[in-house]
Amino acid sequence: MESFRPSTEVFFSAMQRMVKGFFFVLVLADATKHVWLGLQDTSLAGAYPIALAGAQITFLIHLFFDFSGYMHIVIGAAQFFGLQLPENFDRPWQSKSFLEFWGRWHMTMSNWFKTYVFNAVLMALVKRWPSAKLSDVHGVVAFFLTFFLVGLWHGTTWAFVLCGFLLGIGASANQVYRNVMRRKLGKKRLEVLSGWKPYSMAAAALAFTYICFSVIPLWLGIAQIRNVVITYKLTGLIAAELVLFVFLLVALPGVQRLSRLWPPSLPRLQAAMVAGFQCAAIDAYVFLFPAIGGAFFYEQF
Amino acid sequence: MRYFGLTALFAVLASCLLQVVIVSAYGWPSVPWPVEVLSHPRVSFAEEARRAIVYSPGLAKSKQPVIVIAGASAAQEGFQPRSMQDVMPELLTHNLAMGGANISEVGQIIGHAFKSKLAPELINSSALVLALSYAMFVPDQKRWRDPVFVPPEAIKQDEILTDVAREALRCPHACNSDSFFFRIAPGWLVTLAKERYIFFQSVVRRLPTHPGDPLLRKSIWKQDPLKLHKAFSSEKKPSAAPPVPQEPYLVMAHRQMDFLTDYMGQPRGVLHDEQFDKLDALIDKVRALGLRVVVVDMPLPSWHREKSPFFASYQAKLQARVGRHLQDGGISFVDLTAAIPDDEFRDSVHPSAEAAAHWAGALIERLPHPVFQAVKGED
Repeated sequence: MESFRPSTEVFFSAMQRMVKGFFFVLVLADATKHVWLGLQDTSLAGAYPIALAGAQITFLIHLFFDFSGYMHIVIGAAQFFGLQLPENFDRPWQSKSFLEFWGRWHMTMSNWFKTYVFNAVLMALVKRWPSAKLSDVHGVVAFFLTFFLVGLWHGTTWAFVLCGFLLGIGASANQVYRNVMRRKLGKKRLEVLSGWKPYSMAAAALAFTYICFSVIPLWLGIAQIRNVVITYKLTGLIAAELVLFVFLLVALPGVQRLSRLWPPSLPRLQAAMVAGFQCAAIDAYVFLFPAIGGAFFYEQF
Repeated sequence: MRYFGLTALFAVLASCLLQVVIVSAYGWPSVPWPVEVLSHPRVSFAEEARRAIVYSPGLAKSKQPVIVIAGASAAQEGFQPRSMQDVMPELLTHNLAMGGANISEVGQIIGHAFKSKLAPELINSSALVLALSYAMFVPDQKRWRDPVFVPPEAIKQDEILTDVAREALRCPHACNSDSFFFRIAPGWLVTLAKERYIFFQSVVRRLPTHPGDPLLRKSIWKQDPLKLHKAFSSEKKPSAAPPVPQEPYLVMAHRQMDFLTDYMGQPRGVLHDEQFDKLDALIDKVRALGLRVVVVDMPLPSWHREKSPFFASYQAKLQARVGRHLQDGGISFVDLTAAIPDDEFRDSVHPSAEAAAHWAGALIERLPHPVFQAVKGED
């Protein structure tokens, strides 16, 4: 093993990552968690589609800040000891489809499932039914099984079975759509269509709406989900998803533009400035809004 | 290293910028002098705990001998610095008594107050007045785990969180008297670390409990998306409820005494040793600092003394504990239990607004001679 030579550059980068992580967890994740829990309570108290839509999106935002914040802390801490851990997030808000999202979110888990489940299932299907005509079906089945297992990976109750089922449906639907469009339009015209802004905005909003919907079982138990279905009925649920879709259609382009403007790594002077601001923000936020409890959300899985 | 320094510099600059914004919005923070935990008008126990944590280091700035009052709400209202000054203008009284405090919390406040030491020439002639009543001996498990007084998220914790400890979560190192930093750092450093929170102090009271609260309060969340116009239409406000006629004094006061009895927990009339042990330790700690300790048994209306199931056992236990320290000669004991007429109470324990000066006078009259003389500046 190569010996680790500590340098101020490495230490600075590590410190910067850790400060960013603490800022995400202590400030942004805490702020969004409270809103998510508040909206969750409201959405369970009656048929309130707007609250249900709000709870879905705030849960995803909270999960992002909480999970990616802890990853920043872990990666930064590892850097102090000369370890280079793999990244786990690659600006997931830039995603334009369901499958792209899972290539940018929790990448270590996605890569593991891709290598050990998706590829293995695909190989097995090709070996069992080696027809070129069936290649699209092989892909769809492999995606469904992989994402079904991704859902089960989070837990073994019926809620997680449902989550896996919804994720599997999302992944395979995404793949079917891609295959059909490719066949109808051809690769080039599909690329042109994907580059067309209104289309890509709508596709991204639709993908995020479905992602928010499919991870509901991560924050509601099966009994609560049953109550939601009974209380909201189909019209209420559709209304909630429509509200979420419209909101994402408006908000997502702004978030994506902001995320593109913010470079992945900053020059050191700017990085020092940002880290300094984050330290001051943590200090002020913790004093003004102290959190009494609050554990890492992913601890429960 | 340069960039670590720059990060720290930017953190300080950003913090200062934030303070500039606060000052331009709310004005320069006014710190009460003499130090007083009670806010006028009274806001909440949390506000009092914050004031105790953030303002108490100011005690060390005293240039003359001081009397520091520690206790609960009766001492807070009865011995306000301004009532004490009304009686004796030369007197500098800092009042760190906190509403609803038990002895554990008083100990925490004392820890904050005397982290920065008084000037050596003032120590011998200054005094800590421990104003006690039976309600302050409620065990921690009852006092700080009662859902009537403590929010549920604080009760879930394994540890006991007093109001002071809970407010210390805002700045877990400098503000927590049990933290490693607090224990090892010199007083001036702890004071310096707390200093910037004085700026935030004026903001906290005006803020929601959480930044998300205003968003959650919006009525839009409960609207039907197909009939959204309802959210923007003006709703008729319900007419104000008719004023409730005031209860007769004795009815209200007796009800409050019954509440106090429930508050003390079971079994009725039995006081546990836990808080008395803490009182012993607290007296020893303050005496070790060189300060004179004056234990005051706080006034209660005659009917309260007669009817409370806890009063007799409290007095017996207090006499036994204080007796040991009295024999050493390091403390003084002032009995005010029957010193105040019943009509000077506004309820079962607190003074009426008009009687506060008389309460202050009753205490000053009975203060031990050396302290009284020193505070008057005659020694």
